[in-house]
Amino acid sequence: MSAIPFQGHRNFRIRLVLATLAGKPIKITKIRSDDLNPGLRDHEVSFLRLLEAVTNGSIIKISYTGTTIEYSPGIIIGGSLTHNCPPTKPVGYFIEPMLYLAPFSKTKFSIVFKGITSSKEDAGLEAIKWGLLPVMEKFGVREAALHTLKRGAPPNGGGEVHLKVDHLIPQPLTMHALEMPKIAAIRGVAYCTRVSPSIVNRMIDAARGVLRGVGVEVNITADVWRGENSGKSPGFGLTLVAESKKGWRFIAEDIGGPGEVPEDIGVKVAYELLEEISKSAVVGRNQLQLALCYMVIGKEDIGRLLLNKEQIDENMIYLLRDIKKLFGTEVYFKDDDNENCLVATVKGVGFTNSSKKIA
Amino acid sequence: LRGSAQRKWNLSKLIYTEGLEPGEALRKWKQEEEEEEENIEDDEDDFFQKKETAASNADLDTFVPFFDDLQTLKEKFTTEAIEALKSRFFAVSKKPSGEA
Repeated sequence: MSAIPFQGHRNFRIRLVLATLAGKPIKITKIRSDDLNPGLRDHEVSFLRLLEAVTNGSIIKISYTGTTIEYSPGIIIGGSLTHNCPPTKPVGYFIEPMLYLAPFSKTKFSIVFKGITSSKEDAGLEAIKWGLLPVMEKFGVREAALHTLKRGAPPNGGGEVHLKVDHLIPQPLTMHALEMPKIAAIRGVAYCTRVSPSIVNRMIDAARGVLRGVGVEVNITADVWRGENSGKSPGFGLTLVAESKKGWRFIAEDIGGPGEVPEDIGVKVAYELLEEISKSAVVGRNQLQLALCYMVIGKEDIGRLLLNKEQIDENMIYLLRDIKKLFGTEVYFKDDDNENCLVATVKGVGFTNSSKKIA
Repeated sequence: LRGSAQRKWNLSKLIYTEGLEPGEALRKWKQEEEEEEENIEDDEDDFFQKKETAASNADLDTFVPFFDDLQTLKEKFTTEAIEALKSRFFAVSKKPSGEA
């Protein structure tokens, strides 16, 4: 079977993950070939190692310059292991793609990730716990949990989290989500490590001030980490979750960067949550990739998901093209009664967990 | 009516037209939303495009989506805008809703 060609460093993780699920070899060329520092980054190589560890029989070839890789996937075996994440990316960068593989593994996933636990670009712990795991639950993956053993703010990290997915399923359920969920409450976690506990209250007050107008219950928990479990660097962050009664959730999060005060973060995350709600239908933009991929690898049946027209952006088109290249499946968009919305319909490819074939 | 049928067909077509940059595809789709009677043949003219070659340092594999800066968001979510968003919440909203 000849390798499916891809170019560039875009969607690096999801391409490898989808190739693993599809069982098709891929070849990615021109990875940062025009860059002053060409080729794969530390975290990308680290991700390849992780992928190799959770699969059996994968073959990964990296060219001398690191601008080309060939990946021939094996089967997903999972297991218990520890992964040390490089300081360039937080643990969320590595956990997120594992969520696509874990339910379809031969043995249960139980991986301890060590390193930085938060960043401005990648999924934080609460975003995974309250944003991504609930989406998986909608597709029939229960008993997935992320335990925070230690928090580790950037730049020095020192955090430790445990991802456990105990539910192995043959394939995800077919999704029919055509109704806009109503948000019943806004929850959140404001956390800090190695800084004054008053910081979390300042974030909470600022966020509440913005969200007071929407008229639902706002409940933000203060989570102050002290001592050995709080990592090597001072830091703070806020994750807000808007949840519906049916279990759909929208999330927004950020962490304090250099020169930012807690009030800024509180206000910013609150506004971003409102923005995310206004631009989404059933799932937020950061959950869309997971939801669409699970729909694609579902049963050979039509799944439907209500989308906001605002959610159709460049990233989504890149994702849909990658899906088509690997699975040959196209997502069709139908107009909805609500003129701001579209219904994405996709026929599952009839993927089956290779270790569950006898049934 | 004809327009709406064509529009939805176009989105799927635009998305899966390899060689059309996603940004360009989006622009075309959004423009059609605004101007109903756009000449489709114009779209075909710039069908062949040069692939993006500029070196990109940007991280193209992140979780957090793009947001406008705080100032823009603050201006967007005025009291009225939040009021309009209330239909998405189970709250003391203007129209009473029964569905869960």
